[in-house]
Amino acid sequence: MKYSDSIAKLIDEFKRLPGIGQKTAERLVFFLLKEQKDAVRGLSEAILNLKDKVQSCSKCNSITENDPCNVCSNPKREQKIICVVEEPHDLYAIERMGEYHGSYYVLMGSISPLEGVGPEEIQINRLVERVKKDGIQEVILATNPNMEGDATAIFIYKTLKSLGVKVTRIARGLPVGSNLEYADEVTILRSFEGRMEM
Amino acid sequence: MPLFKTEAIVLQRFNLTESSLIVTSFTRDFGKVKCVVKGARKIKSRYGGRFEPFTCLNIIYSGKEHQNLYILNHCDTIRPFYNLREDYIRLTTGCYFTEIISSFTREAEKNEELFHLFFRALDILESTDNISVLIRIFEMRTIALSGYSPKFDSCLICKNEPKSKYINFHFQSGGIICGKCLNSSSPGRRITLGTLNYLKKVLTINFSSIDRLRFPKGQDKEIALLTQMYLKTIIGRECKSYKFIAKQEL
Ligand SMILES: [Zn+2]
Ligand SMILES: [Zn+2]
Repeated sequence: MKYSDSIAKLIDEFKRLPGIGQKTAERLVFFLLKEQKDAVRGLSEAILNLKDKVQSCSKCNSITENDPCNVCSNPKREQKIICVVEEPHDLYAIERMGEYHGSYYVLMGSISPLEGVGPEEIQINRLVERVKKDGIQEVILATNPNMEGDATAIFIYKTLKSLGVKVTRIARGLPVGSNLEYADEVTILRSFEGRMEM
Repeated sequence: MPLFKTEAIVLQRFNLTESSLIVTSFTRDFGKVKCVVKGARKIKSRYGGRFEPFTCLNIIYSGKEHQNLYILNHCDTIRPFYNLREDYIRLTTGCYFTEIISSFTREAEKNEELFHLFFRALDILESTDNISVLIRIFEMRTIALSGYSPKFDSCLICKNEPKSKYINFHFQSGGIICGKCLNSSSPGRRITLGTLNYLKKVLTINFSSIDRLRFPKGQDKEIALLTQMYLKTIIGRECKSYKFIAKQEL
């Protein structure tokens, strides 16, 4: 027997979400069918609110409910230091550490030559403008330690170095709690390059 | 299940799940191979950064023959080519080479000469300053080793060796039309005999003498445009990474 139109439609909508297949989508729909109407309304409103209230920060691109975001508008944060990340979830990872007190810039992607994504497709220009306009003292590049993250970091470095701003990149090397014995050659090389005097 | 052992250069990798990757590589013995690597995305993975594009590996993988997805059982690094990741021009050129190899190769189609060309080109790319000549050599030799060798020695129509100042290169057939046979409606792109001679050199020059080959100003653009258009005719589209190269040289 085929599902009725409303059920089939919701199953299809759920299946568009990451990590959800036919079986999971069906389970979610049948769970919702058993729920009270208020609970279901609460869920759908929360989803709608997401698009109505959440926007991107006009200064750092990060996702926020007020513009500028809580980091950009916080006078206790060092606004002359910018940490550049690829995606909003990278920013949250750094915030969880709790030891970084500067501001951010979210690129919303990375340079990926194999996918044809160049510097124009991610928002590097706005970063450059902000560095010029706000008299930024240090730009910390926290892009991923993979090929795309490397491409993005070198490109930004090339673009910014003529402006006389200090550009640093977070260390790449052995993950804490891992074993040197099992590390690959590039990871060990990076660890040596990033060694520090004790 | 049979085990396969070969050398491989990583072309691309995609996330499959939270912890595993799909890695496509070009191998010396089995052409293009796609493998699932379980656990590769974990931060403490024993594989580390081994599946980044242009890393050359020894791999052992298993699976039924002629299926299109295998399981990677073991790998170790032969050459990481990490210098390519320190410089924007070298990195984007490495990506361009990778995309060309990906476009010209198919699964289970061995092309050992092409594998060696790819390895050698990445090797030279790490150190040479003559990158645009290396790009032309790589483009033309990949085309030639894939069965589309251009025929530069004799005219398509009269079969004679071209001697006139201008000739046409005909992309569909990979041949030339000499000055005597040319007319205003001849197909292809007009080039000078000088450019033709450089193209011949590109096909035959030894990699170790690459630093001695320089294209004259003006002619370099004509040579780049021609190899690029020929490549595009064969693969039927422009490489996504070509715009990075074009920006640097055209
Ligand atoms: Zn902000
Ligand atoms: Zn002729």
